[in-house]
Amino acid sequence: MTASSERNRHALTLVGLAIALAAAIIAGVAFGAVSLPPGEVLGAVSRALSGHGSTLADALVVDLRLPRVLLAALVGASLALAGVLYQALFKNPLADPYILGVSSGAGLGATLSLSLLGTSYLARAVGVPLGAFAGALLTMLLVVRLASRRGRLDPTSLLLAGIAISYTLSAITSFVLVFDRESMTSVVYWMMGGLGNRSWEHVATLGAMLAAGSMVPLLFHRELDLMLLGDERAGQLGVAVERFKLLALGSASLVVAGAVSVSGLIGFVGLMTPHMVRLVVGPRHRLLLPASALAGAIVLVVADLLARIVLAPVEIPVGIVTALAGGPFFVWLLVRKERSR
Amino acid sequence: MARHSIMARLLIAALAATLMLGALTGCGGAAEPPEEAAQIEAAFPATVTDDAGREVTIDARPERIVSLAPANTEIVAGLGALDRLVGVTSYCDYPAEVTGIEKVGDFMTPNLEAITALDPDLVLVTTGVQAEIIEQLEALGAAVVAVDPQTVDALFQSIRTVGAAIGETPAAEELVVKMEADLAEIGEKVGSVPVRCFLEIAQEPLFTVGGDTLLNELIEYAGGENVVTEEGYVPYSVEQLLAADPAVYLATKGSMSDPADIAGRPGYENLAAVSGGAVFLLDDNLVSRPGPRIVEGIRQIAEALHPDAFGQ
Amino acid sequence: MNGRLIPPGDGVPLCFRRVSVGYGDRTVVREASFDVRPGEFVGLVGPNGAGKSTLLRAVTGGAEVKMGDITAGDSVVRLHERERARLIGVVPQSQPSVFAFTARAFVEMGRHAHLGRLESLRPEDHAVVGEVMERTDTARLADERVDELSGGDLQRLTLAQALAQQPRVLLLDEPTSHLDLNHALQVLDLVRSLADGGMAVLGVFHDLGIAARYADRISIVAEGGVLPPRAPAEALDAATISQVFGVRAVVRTDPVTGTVAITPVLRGEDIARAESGMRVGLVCGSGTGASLMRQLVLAGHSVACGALNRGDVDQAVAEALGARLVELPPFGEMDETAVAEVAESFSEVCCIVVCPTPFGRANLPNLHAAVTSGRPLILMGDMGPDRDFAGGEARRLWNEAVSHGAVQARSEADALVELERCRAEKG
Repeated sequence: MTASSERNRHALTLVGLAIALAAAIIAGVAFGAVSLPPGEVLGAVSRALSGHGSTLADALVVDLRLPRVLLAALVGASLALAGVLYQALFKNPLADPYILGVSSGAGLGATLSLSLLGTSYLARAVGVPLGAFAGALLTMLLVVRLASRRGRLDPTSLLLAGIAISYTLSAITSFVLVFDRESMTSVVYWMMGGLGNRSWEHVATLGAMLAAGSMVPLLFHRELDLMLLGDERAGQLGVAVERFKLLALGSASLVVAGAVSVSGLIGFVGLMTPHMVRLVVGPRHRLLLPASALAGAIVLVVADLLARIVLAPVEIPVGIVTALAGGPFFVWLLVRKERSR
Repeated sequence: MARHSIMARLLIAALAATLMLGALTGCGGAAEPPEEAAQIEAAFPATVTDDAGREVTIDARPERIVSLAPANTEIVAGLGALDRLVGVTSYCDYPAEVTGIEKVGDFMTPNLEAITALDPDLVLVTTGVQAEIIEQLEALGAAVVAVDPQTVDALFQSIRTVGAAIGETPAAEELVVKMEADLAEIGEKVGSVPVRCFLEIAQEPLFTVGGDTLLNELIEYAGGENVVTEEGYVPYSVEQLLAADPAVYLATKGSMSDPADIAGRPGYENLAAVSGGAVFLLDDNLVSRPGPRIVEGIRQIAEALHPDAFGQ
Repeated sequence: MNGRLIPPGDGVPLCFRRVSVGYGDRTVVREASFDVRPGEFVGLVGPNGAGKSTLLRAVTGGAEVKMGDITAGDSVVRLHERERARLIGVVPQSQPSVFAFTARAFVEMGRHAHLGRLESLRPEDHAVVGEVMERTDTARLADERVDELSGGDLQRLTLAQALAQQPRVLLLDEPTSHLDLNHALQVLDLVRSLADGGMAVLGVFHDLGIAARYADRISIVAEGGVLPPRAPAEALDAATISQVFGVRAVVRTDPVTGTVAITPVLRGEDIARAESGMRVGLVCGSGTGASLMRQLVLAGHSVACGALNRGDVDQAVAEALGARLVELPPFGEMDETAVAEVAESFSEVCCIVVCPTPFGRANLPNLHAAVTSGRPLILMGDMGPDRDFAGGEARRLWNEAVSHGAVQARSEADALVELERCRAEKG
């Protein structure tokens, strides 16, 4: 395959994914607990661009659905991107963004916030994401510190440290909840992952974090390819391996922490999406990164839509929808592996 | 449960009649106390049918009462038997004297050891989560009466049941009469045009009350119309809320701490209740405890729904 | 000939200066000092675990340099990875890949150190990749997935990837271990031509023959040390091989290729303890005694071979096996000293076996010494005209031996049986 035809294939793939994402977003905005005729949806969108309308459709579309759907896209993209990075760092196509105990750290941060901040919506709207974010990042720092030996970061040590920290923080979280039963429902609900009642502020914040966090992966896509050959080989081919690992880990953790802070623990997207995209477009990160981000966005927008309409008006936490997809995904992987023997 | 309550009503009516006859005929001076005492003695052994459908016989006037629900504690206090209350839950906080009484655990997990240590002769439980321990309590030798009314009428019935169980039937009757009178007064003030409202009982996820709940009935007594048409305790979507657009937004204090907060929630600024400043917090202890103060709860709701009628 | 493979300009030598390398607390090799000059191909050989790969890995940071310095122009330890990758290419023992890169993409990774942050492959990069894949015969694999390639294909592809770096120094770790004969030669010819073009090449080899054939100099790594590199013929003599590898091998210069050829004869450990061994005399030459000599040494006997010419197969085997012999120049004849020595050595043996070698004037004295030694003789085969080129003298000596009770053996097995009988009789 020549270089230019490969570039064309890249471009086509990304354009295709972008169109699919646009379609998903449109569907996400058009459907919900209250059914709106398409004309009203379009009207609301066009009015939104010029100002703010005052009908029910405007309120539903612009204040509730649009920020939520966009946030779903951002969270999905963030988790998928982080998944790609972790899979490269661990040279394992089944690594998961929560692999370093980041989820337990975020959970503890969110629990402490919910427990200490009372029932004020505003306090919670700011405090819980902050707590979750801080928890996630501090956990990552702790795990990296534990796993560093003589200035080298070894994947197995990272894994072990992540598991150890994960168990410890989960235990502490449960302990806190024993003393604060009233917060238990809120915490459990948060942990199941949800995108409800999210505002444009959340969208802006996560958008900024994703933009910052995706700089490194997109600029260093070749290094990511080389890391897959093993640390020593990558070094022989010219990669400053230890420095790069920290950079990649930092970007991935920033992006995961951001996603978790606004949406709780949504699982499987970060694991399934890069894996599936890699099966289709191949392992080169130049295409894998943007394709996974777009695919992750699509997956979560669709999952959120399902979460909202399957049992409408009851809203299933999004994390449950993704987990329900996760089970069959692994079974399919297993079947495929058995067949290829 | 309905047919038992009719039976109970007849029994209690008979008892009440007997007591009143006794009071009327015993119009003397010094002769009264002994007659009263005799009449009090005559109330026992009493048999009541509780809210779990059980027929319970109380042999003698209970002197050591344990209550495992704040609502029931308030009923006992309302009937003037506070001095005979030896054990309450950690959530019981009204009246103030109750704080000095021994605590036997919380509402969800009453501590059997603590209860046993108090050697009660009557234990008032609720149904639901506490149903499991009824047998264990009876094994202690105490009479166990389940009190868990789901409607206002059932509450009145429960008050009378407790009255019979502890030997305070006249006080019970008096209390019920007063409550009915207060309700009638509120009913007159709120008029006949109900105000559309919504009651939030949990914030995230958003939970509310629908038909067939006690809170819903309180709303109706307070001259309100719940926009929620489903039954029971239900999750609600903000989209539905915007579509329903109630005139007044109510929330229990456990769900929201500051009405000004609510405008910050996505989409809420579009609600008429929010832009009109008609967001009110309700005291959980008044609206969620089926006890004597339920009328205060109804009054609180009514003041929120019909401010003009109450001079707000 | 090497087109884009070798960057223009002067070559760079790879120098080890009193380098000790190892991992963690362990020092594997101490005080290695040697150079690999531009245009030179140096081979590292040695027993397993000696530290050859460790030395190689130390150049690119895979093992620690505990003391001393390794330089390629400048000290490599201080170089940034990017600069180092433009200077030094490594072909490690290839590991199977888990990820489905195409072969071409795999080789393109070698260009990483030449590309800027925002650059992608330019036409000149594609040209390098193309040529590299042609020269390693991997061009036809370009669109295949690396996780589906055979070990040999992947090994050549790894070489291509390293060559795509256009290094001035090339390090190879067992570059032909998975390759069939054809591809092994192809790779080595390529590497040889790269060295000839100015690259400094250092390769680790397990196969002494290949190392001897392609390397300009060979360095032996054993017991924590590195012997200075020398030409293969000097570095790989029978004594060194026996000492370093514990193998008795015949080392000769191959007449066909002109390179050093090593033929292992037997493992040192297999040689039985010589307590019960006898001393056996052997009259042989032209390869007739090689097999029997080997069996005798294996059984723990010590062998005296008389006089043999350098270049004779039996001489090489005798030297490899440590048999006693008097060495004559090629085609040379025995002088008085030699004759006396042979007579002496034959006087100390239990018995003498005469192998089916032809006799001419030059080696007849061996037979004469044997017959006159007074030792029991075991004569193999017949003495026909096809064996006697000494004007009938050989026949005469033969008959004399027979008349004095020499035993005849039809085969080596027979000879060995007779030897045992001889020993038994001796008591």
